[in-house]
Amino acid sequence: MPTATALTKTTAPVNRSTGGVVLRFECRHLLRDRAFLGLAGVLLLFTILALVAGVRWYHFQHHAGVATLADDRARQQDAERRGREILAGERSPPRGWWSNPADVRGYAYYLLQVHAIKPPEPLTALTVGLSDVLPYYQRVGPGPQGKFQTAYEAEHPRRLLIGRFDASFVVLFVLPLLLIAAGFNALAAEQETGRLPSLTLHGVSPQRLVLLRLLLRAGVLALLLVGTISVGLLVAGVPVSPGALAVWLALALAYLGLWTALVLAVVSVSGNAASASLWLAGIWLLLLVIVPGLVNLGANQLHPLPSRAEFILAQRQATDEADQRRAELLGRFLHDHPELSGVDTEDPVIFRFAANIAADEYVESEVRPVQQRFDERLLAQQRLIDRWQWTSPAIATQLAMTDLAGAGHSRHRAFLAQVDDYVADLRAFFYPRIARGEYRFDAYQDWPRWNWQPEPDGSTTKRWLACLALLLGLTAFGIAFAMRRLRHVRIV
Amino acid sequence: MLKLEHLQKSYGGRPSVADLSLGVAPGEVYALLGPNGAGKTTTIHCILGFVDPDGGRIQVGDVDALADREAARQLLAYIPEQVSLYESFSGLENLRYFSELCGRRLADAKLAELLERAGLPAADHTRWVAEYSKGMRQKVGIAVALARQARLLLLDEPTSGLDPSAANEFGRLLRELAAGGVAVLMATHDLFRARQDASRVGILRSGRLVRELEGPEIREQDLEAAYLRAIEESASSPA
Repeated sequence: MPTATALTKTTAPVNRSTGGVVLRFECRHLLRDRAFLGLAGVLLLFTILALVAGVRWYHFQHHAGVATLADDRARQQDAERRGREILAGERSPPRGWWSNPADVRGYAYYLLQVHAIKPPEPLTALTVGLSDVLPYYQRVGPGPQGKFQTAYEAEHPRRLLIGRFDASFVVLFVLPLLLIAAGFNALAAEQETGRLPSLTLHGVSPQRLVLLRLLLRAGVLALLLVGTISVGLLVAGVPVSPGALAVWLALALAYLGLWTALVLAVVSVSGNAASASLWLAGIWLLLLVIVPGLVNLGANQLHPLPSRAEFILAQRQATDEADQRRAELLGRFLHDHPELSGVDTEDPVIFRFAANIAADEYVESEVRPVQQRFDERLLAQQRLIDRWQWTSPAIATQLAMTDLAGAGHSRHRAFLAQVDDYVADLRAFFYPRIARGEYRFDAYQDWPRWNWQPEPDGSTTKRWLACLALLLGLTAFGIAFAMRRLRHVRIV
Repeated sequence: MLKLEHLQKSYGGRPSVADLSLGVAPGEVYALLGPNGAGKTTTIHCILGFVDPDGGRIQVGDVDALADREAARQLLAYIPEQVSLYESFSGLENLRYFSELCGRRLADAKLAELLERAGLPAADHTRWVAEYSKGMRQKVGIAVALARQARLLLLDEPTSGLDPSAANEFGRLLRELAAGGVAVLMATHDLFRARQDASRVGILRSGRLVRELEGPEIREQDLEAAYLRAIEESASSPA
């Protein structure tokens, strides 16, 4: 262990142009460094693979939405054509009301095909986020709705476990590892080979040497990442907005900057390359595996979600009860809907359909508390993760990128709210006709259409700005700490 | 060119250099002899500014090295026991890098001339340093010192591990440099090379200069006997 007097304080070199000389030399050095070239190749390969996977997923979602809408439109047009022919007497009506497009019951319950679509944001190609877990389209109609809880397992369980490979994963997990591998010995290589005294004698201070060396390595990795992503998106024809892409890349670069500062800080306090690499591997594990794992565990333990069994049980119980209390429920329903006064409940057909509507509403109202509890718990989990995201820059960056790509919970909540509103609009249109027994239907152009309202511009600004500020702040702190430590580094 | 006055340096209370005073004039080769742990390397590290002395004064040329370390460093060059260069670069490229670092952008022909002057054959200039022997690396180190136009050359065990002919060639280079007005301070165990190359010899024990031999004294005396006698005498005398 060296004594304090064995540590020498290096001052700024006399020759101010050494920075440029070192940088030029390091560039040439990197070109001959097979290990670094290998790391750059790994980054290139992983980025391309991630882009291919992300772009494929984006195109799949996009085309699925477009195809679904086209199919909906074709079926609606077909139903309208057949309905108008029946109404004009050009075609005889089918035997059952359920297949008669000129009967509002058949049209509303069976022939009307409408899907509420949540179109993917182009940045999904970079951050798949939860877009592969949360449903992005939902068949809707005036009748009982399929519950979103039942759609959470649409993916293969293995994929749910490991997630999709995307550019966010490369940035958050792979990039720091590559930077660690490229920079853990930025100082030790000079100390252990004995070149540091010569370099110091030639005016290259350890601060300048290590900073330039790490910045250059990080810069090359950043250039590869940004170039590959930009060119890849362009070639793949993903219509990403330059502004959104710039913010995503800024987050990625700020995150890389933070890891550069971390490597710099660890290099400045480590006595040798082995201890630096061990420390950095430990920090990587802590920030990317242990802390996120603990935050998730805490969220699940503190706010456990109600089980699906509870939801299904409540639904069955309410359905059984509704079947036994149809007349009572209809009476209550008509009391709650004075606009339907005068409905002829003595007519068994009218009674049957009106009672169905009342029963459906009852079942929904009974299941709603379970649904609300589920939503509240989910929201509480998300709020907890939001609060604890600052314990790991990796969580904060992941959340910011996911929000930016519209692949997170906040955009999905907006989608669910819009679906609820849309279903209410459909019911307001169809239910009074069905309940009153006005079954003849020709208002094919009048029923409300699904119209996705994107989140307002800037809705994610607060989150990514906060994340960016965190990353830049920590980077500045790390660099300042390292520069201070490197002033006292051992030369011999 | 180099003047040390009452230089002191201790590690954990144990003196490594104790009240050391010596001077090296331009054109002089001063060999600092001493057993392991005598303080030779610490002395050189103090001059280079890699170690802060506890007391005393170091003057390089007209510069107070302790007050203006960078200015003093501009005047000197240093060749350690193992000259460490960039392995995946040629001797020429290494020389170009270190020359540019000290603000001298030299043409390839000039760099080659410096390497040849240092004794490295032209065929080896563009080979990677990874393929160089220790002697060849020392020659690149000399070429770097030439490129720096250093007025003081500090050497720490420069011939350790060199074969006799390489060590002889190295000595010839040193003498040439000294003849050009460079002051050379060489810490060494090699009594033979000290006798061959040095114009003055200082014998160091426990950080103290116990004897100095000059010019004809070195040649005429049996240096080994003088060295052993000085070490023994200083060990028996009270500190």
